[in-house]
Amino acid sequence: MDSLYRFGSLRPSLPTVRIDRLLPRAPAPSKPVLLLLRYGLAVVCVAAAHLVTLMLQQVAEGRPSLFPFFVGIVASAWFGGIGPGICAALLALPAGLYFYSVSLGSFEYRAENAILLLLFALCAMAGGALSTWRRHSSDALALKARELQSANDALRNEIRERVRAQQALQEAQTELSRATRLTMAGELTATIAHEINQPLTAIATSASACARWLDTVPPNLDEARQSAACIVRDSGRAADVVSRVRALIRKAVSERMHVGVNQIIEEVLRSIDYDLRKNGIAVIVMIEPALPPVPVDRVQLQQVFLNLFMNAMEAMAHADERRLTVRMAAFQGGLEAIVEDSGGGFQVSEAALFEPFFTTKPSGMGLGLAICRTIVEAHSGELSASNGARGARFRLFIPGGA
Amino acid sequence: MSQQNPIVYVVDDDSAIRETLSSLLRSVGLAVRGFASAAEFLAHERPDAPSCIVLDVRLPGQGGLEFQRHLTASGDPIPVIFISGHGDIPMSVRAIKAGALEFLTKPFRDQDLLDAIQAAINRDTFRRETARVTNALRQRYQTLSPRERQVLALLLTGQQSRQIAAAIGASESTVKVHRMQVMRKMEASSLVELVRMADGLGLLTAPA
Repeated sequence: MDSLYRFGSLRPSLPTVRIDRLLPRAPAPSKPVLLLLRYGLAVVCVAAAHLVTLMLQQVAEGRPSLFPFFVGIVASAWFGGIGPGICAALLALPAGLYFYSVSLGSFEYRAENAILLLLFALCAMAGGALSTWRRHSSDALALKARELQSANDALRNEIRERVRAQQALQEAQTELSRATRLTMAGELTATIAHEINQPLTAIATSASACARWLDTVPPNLDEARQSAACIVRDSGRAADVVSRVRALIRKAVSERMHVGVNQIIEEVLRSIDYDLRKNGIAVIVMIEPALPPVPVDRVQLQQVFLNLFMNAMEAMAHADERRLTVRMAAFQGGLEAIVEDSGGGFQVSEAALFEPFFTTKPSGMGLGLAICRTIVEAHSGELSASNGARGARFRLFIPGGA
Repeated sequence: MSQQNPIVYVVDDDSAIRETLSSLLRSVGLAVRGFASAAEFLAHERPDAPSCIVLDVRLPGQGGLEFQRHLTASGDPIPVIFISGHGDIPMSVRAIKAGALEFLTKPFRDQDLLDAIQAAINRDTFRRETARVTNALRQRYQTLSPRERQVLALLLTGQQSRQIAAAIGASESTVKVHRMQVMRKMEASSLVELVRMADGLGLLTAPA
């Protein structure tokens, strides 16, 4: 069934989602406390760098390495921002001076030293700035990622909502088409019944009148003859009603067109998709490629397949295995469709099955299959039924050409 | 009694039904007139004869049930027999409650329809006869003088001539003359018959 359930046709218009509203805001500490924390961090970092440098001095003699200070400054800038970075760099300067003095015994002014210190300061500043910038861009990236994530979530919810709405819509449509079908069948039946009942009443009345005219003494043969003529006239009228109903179906067929029957089957299956899934019915559709297009009345053929599918569904209501198989193949220049269910089949003769007003359903009118056969025959086709391996098997043939 | 032959009016938009029903009813000696609609029936001037309507529920324009309501509202007492192609219970209940004599579903047995028509004609005949008698009595009553009506009213309360004389301030012999005049004009042969006539005129329920 899923293969028929396509999202392609569904083009959701995406709603504009306000990301800023969806992002959770962490409670921020107050501004002065934050400032203190950031600058305190700078101080701690430089102090730690100082300690590490001292320890390194114990291990390795010689020119002191200012690398730990560099790390401290970068860390301050990373976590605290540009301000704490500069602060750390300024704090590191006297520390650096100190180490130079200690390592060289005394601080002497040497151009070499001054340049070295200046370079250190510059590098530290640059490192800090770079670090801050990196931090900012990485924060921005994280923010973007979170924004994307929430947009994605919103979208996913939207799709879920849409699928639900789609299902509800389909359910409603199925309900509606069933109601329409019932109403139409009911109205049609009522109209035909009335149209047939009128001449029938006239015939019965004429027959009684005829008998009474013959019973009078002496018999009134003229009147009796007239009544008999009325009977003939009114039976013709009743027959006209029947042929008009037939013509109605034929007229509709004359508006037929070359439609792919597989398309019709697909449409019908989609319209009852909800019922099929609700009843846990597996649908297997096997359609031979490149089928010849046959001239059919789309709506009428939809009715035929809808009827066959609904019957199958109802037949399988209590079956353990519920499988509806639809096969379509080219046959003698026309089309052959086979609809088979696993509902156990039918116990009556095939002729009885297609008899009008024959039904096995408690609320059925018994017109479904009779109408199906009339429609198929109006297409110069054949509709037959047999019992398959697991259930009823309907074979529909529609010739090509015409 | 100037009794005319009964007439059956068939109101049905289906000409075949009108025609065949007409033939059936004529075969048992009934006079029949057919109409395709309620309006056509109303436009027709009906002769003074016992009659009934055989009415189709499904009529063009004014429907059968509506037409029946119209007849009842305009005080037309003609009995109605409904025939319907699709007689459901609520519809027939409504028709019978509104005074229809019978509700037959098409196609009906001819005898059922003839029986219903017979009953309807009988009812209409009886109603017309009652109306005719009441009318005659009313005409006789019209010929009484005010004094005689006064005496009649007191007679109906069961008073003797002497009491009546005292009540109206006349001599007993004068009252007896009035009383004889009342009996003569009303064509009553006994006091009991006079009382029955007064009942028919509705004089007993009204205060004298």
